[in-house]
Amino acid sequence: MALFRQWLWDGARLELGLVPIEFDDTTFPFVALQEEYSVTERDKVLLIPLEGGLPYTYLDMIGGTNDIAVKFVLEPAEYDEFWTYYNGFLNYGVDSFNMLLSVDGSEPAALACRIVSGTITVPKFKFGLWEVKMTVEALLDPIDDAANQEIIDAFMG
Amino acid sequence: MTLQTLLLSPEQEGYAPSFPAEATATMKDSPAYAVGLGIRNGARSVPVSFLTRESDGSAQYFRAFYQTAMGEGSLPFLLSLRIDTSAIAVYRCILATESLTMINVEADVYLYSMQLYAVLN
Repeated sequence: MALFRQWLWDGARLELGLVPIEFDDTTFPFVALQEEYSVTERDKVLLIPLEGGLPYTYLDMIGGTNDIAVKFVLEPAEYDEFWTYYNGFLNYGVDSFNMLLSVDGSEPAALACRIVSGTITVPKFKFGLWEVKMTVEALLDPIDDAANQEIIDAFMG
Repeated sequence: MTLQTLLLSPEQEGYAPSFPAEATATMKDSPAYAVGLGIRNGARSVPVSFLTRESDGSAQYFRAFYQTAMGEGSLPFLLSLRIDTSAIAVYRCILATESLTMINVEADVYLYSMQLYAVLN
């Protein structure tokens, strides 16, 4: 697990990103195993498959976020550290944080995330490992207010 | 606080004269909303839809306006609507929570619907 995590960290320092984020102390130091990739119902967006390709979403057009179900599998030695990060670093899930995720079949990239309220599960102990599931809201396309205002002003003429 | 005007003309589907509790709850979360719209000020619930196109720039404009000027639903904005009378007037509006829906996409045409809470400006 530790070697795999280090590999991801090293890889993330390369240019992988949908959203390039400098890896530093703001990154959640646990590997998220993605169970599924889903479009949030809350944003009521369309999921339209391109020609023989991966699904493309219009999420970036109206919200820029996507809900992704993830699972953390922790060794017993990591368990307390995980919750220490959750309580402090993530402020019990309230604060946003950076995490490596793969969206639309892309290479893993560091995306800004926030836990969707109420989705974190009670930890289960399976085969000597702890398992915690949650859904995170990942920011795919940060809003550029300055660029948007230029578009607005240009349209107004 | 200067409100920005959405220049697109909506299709209106009627309106409701009531001011739902949901709107009050939304306002409590947004100081800008309370300042820009005012609470219990005769707001109408107005379902509208917008037809936008990439080719004429209205689709890009709508997305930019939604994200920045409307603060993804957290900021009030100005929009010309026809309510109560036959005349079109400018209303201060805010998006009802999670009411923005993309109804259809065809070629470069995008059709959105949303519900607004509106008071006469």
